[in-house]
Amino acid sequence: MSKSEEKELKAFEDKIERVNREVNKPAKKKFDISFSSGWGLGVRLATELLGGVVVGAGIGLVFDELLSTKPWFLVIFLILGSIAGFLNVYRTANSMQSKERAHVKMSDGKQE
Amino acid sequence: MSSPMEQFNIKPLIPLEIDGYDISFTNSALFMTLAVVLSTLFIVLSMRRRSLIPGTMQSVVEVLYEFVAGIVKENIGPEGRKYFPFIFSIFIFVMFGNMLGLLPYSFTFTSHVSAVGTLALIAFLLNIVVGIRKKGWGWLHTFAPSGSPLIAIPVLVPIEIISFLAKPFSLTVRLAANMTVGHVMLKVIAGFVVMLGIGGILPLFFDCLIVLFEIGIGLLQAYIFTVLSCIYLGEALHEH
Repeated sequence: MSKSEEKELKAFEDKIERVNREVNKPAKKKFDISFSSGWGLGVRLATELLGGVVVGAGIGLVFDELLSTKPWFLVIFLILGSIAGFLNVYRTANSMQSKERAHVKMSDGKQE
Repeated sequence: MSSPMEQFNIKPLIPLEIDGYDISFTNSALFMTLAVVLSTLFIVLSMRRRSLIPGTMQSVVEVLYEFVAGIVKENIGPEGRKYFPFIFSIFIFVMFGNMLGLLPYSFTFTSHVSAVGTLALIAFLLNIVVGIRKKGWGWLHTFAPSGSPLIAIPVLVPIEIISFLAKPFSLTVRLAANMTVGHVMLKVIAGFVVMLGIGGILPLFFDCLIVLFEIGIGLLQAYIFTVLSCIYLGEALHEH
């Protein structure tokens, strides 16, 4: 590697470090806000709940069609699906909360 | 005037039929092909020089790479490196789909449940395959949480199975619904521009803002879709 190239590389490394230092903190903060915005949170939990109910209803309809027991499996699986939907919402909310706590801890550690 | 839902119509461009199945090359297929071709060209051409000090285009690709690598590392862990190509492909494909959909006269394939659902289904099947390969029969334990009383099992297992099956569904609906809502909103407000004549400047201005907003949403939804497919993969690899 020639001397001028080495110099160029060194200058570039310095630049990267400078930009990194500048970008890291505020960028991360902004990004977190956009990810956990109210709309995003709402849609996420709503689809989670809907998913359980719709999949449950679908399974129930398929069983009814196959065994020709018209409403019974639909009723059973609709109930089970609703429970599964609530379970998914509960789990999602839990994991969101623990993630948020981890983030808070991380940023606290950085500031000290 | 055309309805705001007309943009989502699928039109066959090259009609094809094999054995009674309609497999026409549609506008949706055209834009999926475009997304694949453009993203491949973008990455290959940008990385052609592979210099130690990256130029502008190379930096963009490197930032994308590191971004996805970060997602994989955070949500799956070090053993997730094996699945990086898959995750990266999903991210780039969805991102290009969202971005191409914002161009005038284009078609947004990510607003269709069938297209997004297939992607989610691939991630879902990969989750099952990886889970079975990693844990063998123990994988079935996902559906019967340890420590649950024997009487509760007949109720718990169906609930767990439904909750497992619901994941790709909610993943699909979230992306498709977000893209559909954004594009309908754009069209409806664009309709006001025509109706109001000279007063249409106000909705026009508003529409410009929404386009900007939609670019953000498109990128964010691609990110979320990627993160969630990572989380599913991670669940298959780790214990609860």
